[in-house]
Amino acid sequence: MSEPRPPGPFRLEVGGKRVEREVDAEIEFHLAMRARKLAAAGLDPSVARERALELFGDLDSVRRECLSINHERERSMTRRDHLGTLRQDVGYAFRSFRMVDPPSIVLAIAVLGSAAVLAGFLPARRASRVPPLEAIRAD
Amino acid sequence: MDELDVSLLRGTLDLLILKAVSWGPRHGYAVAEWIGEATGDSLMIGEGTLYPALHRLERQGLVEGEWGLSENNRTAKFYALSRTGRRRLQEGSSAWHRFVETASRALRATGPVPA
Repeated sequence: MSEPRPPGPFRLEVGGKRVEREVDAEIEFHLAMRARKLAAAGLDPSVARERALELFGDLDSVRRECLSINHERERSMTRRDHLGTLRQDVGYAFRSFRMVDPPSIVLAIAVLGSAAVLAGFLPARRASRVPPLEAIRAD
Repeated sequence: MDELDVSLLRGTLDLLILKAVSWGPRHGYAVAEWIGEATGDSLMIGEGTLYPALHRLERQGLVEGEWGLSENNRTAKFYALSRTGRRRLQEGSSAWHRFVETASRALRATGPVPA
């Protein structure tokens, strides 16, 4: 474990590294406090550190578990950010839509819609009037 | 320790952690100390198991972690009980009492037919 540094000012650091530093700092704080208490009770400082580690249990698996919980949390927070942005965009679109007066919207839909229908229907009708055999020969 | 013990213990540990921070923000070490004293050191398998539990509670929004200075001027992560956490502690405690009462009544049964 590297020397823990105060994680506070590193809020803008990329997620993974920050999570790792925070988890390490937290565990290190615990071990230091426990060792200090044991030493105060009369244990030799080097033995106290060993004993603190023993009391802590499986450090590696605790560390790994903490990291995975935090990474997951970080990911879901990013997801929530994206969702929030999407909601804002939709809200914005909706609001700007409402700023246009309703008759124009209806008119726009009607004009665009009938243009689309005619653009499909008229050529199709003309094509259906051509006798099939003639169409094949002209090809 | 078999599966039943582990899941029972985990739920209990979560409740004890919520209880430990119910008097104000505490760092992990202080939570460990409180649980150790309150239970006569009979519940903790390893002090380290506390941390995954704390982080899980934080992810669930039941506690809120914040870095601050400890009593001896070191940086430490303090956990505070959130509003949902407090509600969970109340509901959890009464559910736990009901559960223990029911289970011990059943476990004390002296015959195949319920009294």
